[in-house]
Amino acid sequence: MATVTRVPQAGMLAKAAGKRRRSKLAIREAIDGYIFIFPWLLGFILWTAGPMLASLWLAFTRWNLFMPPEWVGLENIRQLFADRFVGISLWNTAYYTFLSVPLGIIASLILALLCVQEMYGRAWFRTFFYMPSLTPAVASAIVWFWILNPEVGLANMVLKAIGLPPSQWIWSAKTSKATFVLMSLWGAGGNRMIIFLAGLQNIPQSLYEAAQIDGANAWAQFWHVTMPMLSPVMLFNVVMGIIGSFQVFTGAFLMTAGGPANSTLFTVLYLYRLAFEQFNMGYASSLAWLLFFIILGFTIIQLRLAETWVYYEGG
Amino acid sequence: MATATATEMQPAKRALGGRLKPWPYYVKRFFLYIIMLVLSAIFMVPLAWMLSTSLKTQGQVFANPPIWIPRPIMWQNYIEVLSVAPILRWLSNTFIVTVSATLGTLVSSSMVGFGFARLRFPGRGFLFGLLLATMMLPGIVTMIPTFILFKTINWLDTFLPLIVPSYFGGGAYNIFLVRQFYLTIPTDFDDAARIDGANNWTIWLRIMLPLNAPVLTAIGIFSFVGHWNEFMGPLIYLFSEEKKTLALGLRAFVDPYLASYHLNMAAAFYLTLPMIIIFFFGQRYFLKGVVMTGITGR
Amino acid sequence: MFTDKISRRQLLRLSGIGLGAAVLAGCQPKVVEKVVEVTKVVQEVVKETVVVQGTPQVVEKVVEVTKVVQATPKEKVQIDFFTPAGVGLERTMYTNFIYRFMDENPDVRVNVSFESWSDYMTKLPTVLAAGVTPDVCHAHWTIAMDYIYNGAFIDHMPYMERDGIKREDFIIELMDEFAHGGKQYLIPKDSALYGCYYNKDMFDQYGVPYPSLTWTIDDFVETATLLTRDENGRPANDPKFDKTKIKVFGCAWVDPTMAADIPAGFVNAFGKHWFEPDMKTSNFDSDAVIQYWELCRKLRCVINCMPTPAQAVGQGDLWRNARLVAMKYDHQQNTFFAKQEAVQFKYDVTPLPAGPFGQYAPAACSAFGVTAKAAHKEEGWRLVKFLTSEEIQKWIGEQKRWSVNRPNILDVIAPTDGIPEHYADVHIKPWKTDYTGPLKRIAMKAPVGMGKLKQLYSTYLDPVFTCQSEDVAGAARKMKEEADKVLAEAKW
Repeated sequence: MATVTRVPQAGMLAKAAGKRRRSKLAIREAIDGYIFIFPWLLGFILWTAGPMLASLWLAFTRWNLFMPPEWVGLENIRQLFADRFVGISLWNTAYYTFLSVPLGIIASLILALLCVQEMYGRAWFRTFFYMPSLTPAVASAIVWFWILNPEVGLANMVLKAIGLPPSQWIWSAKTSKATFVLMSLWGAGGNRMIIFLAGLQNIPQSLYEAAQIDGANAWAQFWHVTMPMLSPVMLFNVVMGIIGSFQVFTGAFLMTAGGPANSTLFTVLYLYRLAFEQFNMGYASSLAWLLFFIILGFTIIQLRLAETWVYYEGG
Repeated sequence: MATATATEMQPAKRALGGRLKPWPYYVKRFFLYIIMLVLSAIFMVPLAWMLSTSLKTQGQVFANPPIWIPRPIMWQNYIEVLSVAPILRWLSNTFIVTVSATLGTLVSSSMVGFGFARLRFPGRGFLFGLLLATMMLPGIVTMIPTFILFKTINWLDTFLPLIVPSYFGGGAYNIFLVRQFYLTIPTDFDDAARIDGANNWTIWLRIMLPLNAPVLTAIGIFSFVGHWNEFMGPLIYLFSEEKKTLALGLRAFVDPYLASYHLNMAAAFYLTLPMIIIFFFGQRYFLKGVVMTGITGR
Repeated sequence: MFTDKISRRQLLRLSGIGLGAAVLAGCQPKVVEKVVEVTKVVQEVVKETVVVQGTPQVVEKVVEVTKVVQATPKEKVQIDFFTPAGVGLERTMYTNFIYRFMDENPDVRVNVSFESWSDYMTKLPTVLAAGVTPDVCHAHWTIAMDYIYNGAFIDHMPYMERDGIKREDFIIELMDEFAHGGKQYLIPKDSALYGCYYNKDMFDQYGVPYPSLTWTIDDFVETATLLTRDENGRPANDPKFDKTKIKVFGCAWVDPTMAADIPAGFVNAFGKHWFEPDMKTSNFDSDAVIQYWELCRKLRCVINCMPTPAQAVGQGDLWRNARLVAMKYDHQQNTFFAKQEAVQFKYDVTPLPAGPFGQYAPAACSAFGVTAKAAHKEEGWRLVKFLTSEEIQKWIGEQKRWSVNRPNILDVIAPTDGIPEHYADVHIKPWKTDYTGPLKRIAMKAPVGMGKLKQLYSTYLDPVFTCQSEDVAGAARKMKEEADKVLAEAKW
């Protein structure tokens, strides 16, 4: 990063100049801003807003997919609070989210830190770590069935080797959710690790060198250089982790079908069932919007909290 | 941030590249490689299983204890699977969709991300919130309205619903990601360029894009892998056999009764291999090491 | 992007290749003849378009010519046909049927869309809800009544009467799966006829007598117990039997759910069906169902002679790989796959065991029907009629994988090599119209709301069948209570 060295000087000049010209440029900047976001705005109006509004409307209707939707007012909302499967599915989803997101982020960060070390075969190791994200879900489900088999599976063999009692994994209501959290960790070398890797690339080497001269050890460098510089990326991973985990679906759909005893009936799986197995799209839409507001709530909390810990170099 | 101001420091020698190091260095290195190898083995299980299964005979697939190295090695499975389904046709469809969509995603997400990260305009916060909110509603309930939309503009059974939306923002996930990375670049760069008479377009093209090569590569990879593996969109928008993508076509191989897993996995490997190649070459863009003293053991 | 002619040619090429594969896959000689016959039809169709082959420019010209040619006679009617189908033989077969149909009906063009089984359940509701209505589509018995209740299919009786097709031409129990109130909403596209397959070598090894054709549920439990062995070769009734190290399970696939095909045979043998005939009340708390569920629980959790779901998934077919299971319930396709996978052991098949209320032969199937919103109902009906006709059913039966939808041609499904020995006693004879033996025919009929019932089932019965609870009667009572509410929602 040869350019870094001339930054401070130019920066000071620019800040001085910026203040003077800001008012004149404000209008032009706003126009440019709209132009830059225009592709998204147009796309949003063309094919996102309409379907979202349509589903919001459907949330107040009864629609079995065959007959025209029929307005039922708040009936679906009332039913949401009476339906115990809603409670069960939200609890399952929250359990999964609050375990898998923090654990997954820590795991991804550790993997990313391992992957930036100078070493032979680093490109290969990164590719290997990413593999679970490339394997078709159907193929990984088969492998998991085979690993988690209580009698002959690899997982219980490992437990046995270290002297622990065998587990029923996804086939017991007591352990099924925790097993899904474990399985999610297996994807820690995926996109989240890559994002951390890309984030680590953006940290100027000079910051580490400065810290070293100040006598900071690796631990101090991690907390005082890496973490602050990585915090915008961390925020991204936390927010996206929560949005994604609240909508967990595929694993349970392919492997447990929500069982045993509804212990892996996640909200989106229940939604899918309501819509496509029970033909109750109106009610499914109202549950989807409930989930929407829950995710929105957690995201707003995250973004508020972020103001205290996220450091934007260019904010 | 005390450390952030220290950008002027003299470049120190890199941690690696010296001559002989004290012995603890080699011990730590040894453990580092052991950890990397063990983790690699864990993450490689599914792929190894896929590859191994794809080279087996039917009888060996579910042998107990499992057979990892098939004997004989059935390379012909890869030929045989081509006669069961139009794999190559599906592969070329996947390629068309993926490359077109990835291109659109890269261009439009880096552009929109710049708007949200760097330019001030009324309603920016609200619009950004809206952008995030689009990811919070489960797709299952917007699927049918979206389908109706594409039906009214006569795009059913074409690749357009799979490609065109990528050119309009490239997805909220990618825009949010690019924005976060742009925000880590000091504004000093922009200000300096403005003094030199650069407008926003030049700043975006000449400063932001080059400085964010790692994250754009990451988005390229995610978008490629995402479109390559996607089956939900192709499932509902494509109808004819000859227009299907491979990820969609492959789903038909998974019949619980067929049990011809060796062919299924050979077909799955046709799907996976191009992604491995793309990833392997793509990830070289993050090869620059970040070296913290101590972790590598000096 | 592609014109009709080209896509058709490509499909033909694909099906040609697929047919070649089917021949190579080792079909019986007789079947090969049939395959060749259909290939001929395909070749004839290819001849029409053979000029098209060549450079891309030439293709475009030829296509223009064909467009002109098409424009002069009257417009072809286009009908859309949706069906799930496995890759390979199944898709090739249906592709060929459609070409044959178009040859016989030059005024109709069929656009077929094949999906995988699980995806079909997502795609069909989506396109129907969006108003893209295929003229003909497929429905599985478990979901058919939901579609019918919601008015997705037309009543085919007027068409059948007009064209002289009688319900009695078909296996009537299968027709009943898709009928309600004297109306026939779909026509069975093939059939699946169930029996108990057993590995004779394992019986010989452990000195257990083979099941007879008239065995009872008690015989079945005893046989399954004796065949369940731990690593030391001890049977499941031995006090020293080690249930943590089971080497062979007596039996697989006695599924306790009401959404599976086989259980109905057992429940009926205990005296009742899952539901009352009017489908308005369930019998989950009846002695018959409780006895059946108790039997399943005993097999799985007490005797340990039935593998748990954990042991049954992800390992292929436990019976056919001859390692884990001595007996399993399956339909005639098991014979087909046993031969395709060249199993090394001797095997045979016997009917489901008899209970205090008789011995039952269960069957199930999927069906095709014309949709209520179809743009071309007449042409759609012609396709349904064609696909369910005797000629096509014979061809399907001769693949030896699927059974047929009508009793008079059942013999075509018989294996040419006579293996397994009692194939006809299980899969053919009981379904003929003149059958007088002890087996009672029964077909599956699902009520409206199967999706909700499945949800209730996993709520109340999962604890029992994951061996966490022993309270079958309590679970059955709750199941009945809630299920009846679901059933009451359907107001025809």
